[in-house]
Amino acid sequence: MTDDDLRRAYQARVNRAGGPPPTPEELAALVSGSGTEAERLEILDRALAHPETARELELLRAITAAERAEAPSRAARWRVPLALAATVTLAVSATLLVLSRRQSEILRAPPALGAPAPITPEDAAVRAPGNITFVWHPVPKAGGYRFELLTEVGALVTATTTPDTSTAVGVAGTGPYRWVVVALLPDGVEVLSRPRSLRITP
Amino acid sequence: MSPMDAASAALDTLIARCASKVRLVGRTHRLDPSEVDEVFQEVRVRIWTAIGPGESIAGLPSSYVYRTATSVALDLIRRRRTKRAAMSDPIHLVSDPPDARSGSAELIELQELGGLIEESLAELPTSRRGPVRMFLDGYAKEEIAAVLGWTEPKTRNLLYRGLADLRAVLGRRGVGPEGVR
Repeated sequence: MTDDDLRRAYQARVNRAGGPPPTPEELAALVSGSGTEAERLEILDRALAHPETARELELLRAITAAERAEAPSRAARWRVPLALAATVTLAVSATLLVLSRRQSEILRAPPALGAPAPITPEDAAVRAPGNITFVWHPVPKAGGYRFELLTEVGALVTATTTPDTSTAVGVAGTGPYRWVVVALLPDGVEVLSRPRSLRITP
Repeated sequence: MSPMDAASAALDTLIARCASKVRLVGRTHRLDPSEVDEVFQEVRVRIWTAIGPGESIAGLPSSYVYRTATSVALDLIRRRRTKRAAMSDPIHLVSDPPDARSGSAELIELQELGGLIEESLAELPTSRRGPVRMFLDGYAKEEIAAVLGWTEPKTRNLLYRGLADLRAVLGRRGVGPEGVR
């Protein structure tokens, strides 16, 4: 029996394996590559055993695969920070910092659709290498925030999760960056802020 | 063209490019193009709302669009599941509706063989079952490797071993090279 015969028969089957389908969060973890290999394999098995979750997985996989196809390569995605690390040490250890902010700043927060609104550094800010404090407006019901520092083309340089609305990150590498904040809402919903650009110059 | 119109056109171009790539990637795997359209329409709304007037859309990285698309897709999946749960049985208890051609003897035979494959998969080690399922669902080795974060040699090795295991189990169940004996 050829591989094609197996495929045709498998795709025509009407009985399905038991067990609950994976949750949306498990599907997201699978396509993002988080979790252990054993966990990803177990989620994949359950996802493909159910036609509906197989279609859901395909939607998420296609988005991720399209993003990867657009980037130079997955390996290159990691070569960027590694190359930077050689010449430009990036301090990955982020120090969480709670800043006292003026009430007026909080009151004029305009988080449309619950998106976190960045405060400082301002867009297109220029900073010297060192510790930089990133601050954003709170989002109602957010259980925490994930701060992401990206290269200019969107490759992740470092990320940190905090329950606060600010974080201090040591950035020693010169060059252009972007940064975004993701509000982590209940039920796994994530809302991205608008990206801001940042340039580090000596 | 006003700055607002120019920004809107720039955003449309960026989103159309990303949506087109997603449709292209998913075209061989039953990904419904209208589903992609639904996701990226919502992506447009979210980005347009998040990016304030006067801010540059031209410089927006496509990775931001894809991340937003993932977030929108997850919300869409959650909404559909909630709707399904309110209307019907849990999806893992529901079988596909019978095919219109279900009367054909060839199809019935194929479905029976598919059922044996499904049962046989349960006997495979977990490390091989996932990649074999993806392969049987029509995914290429490169796509399997990307989902599992494996190298090409590791994927090929586990996939081929898995397929050999599957054929061995099927053989014990009376399914030989020529099909059901």
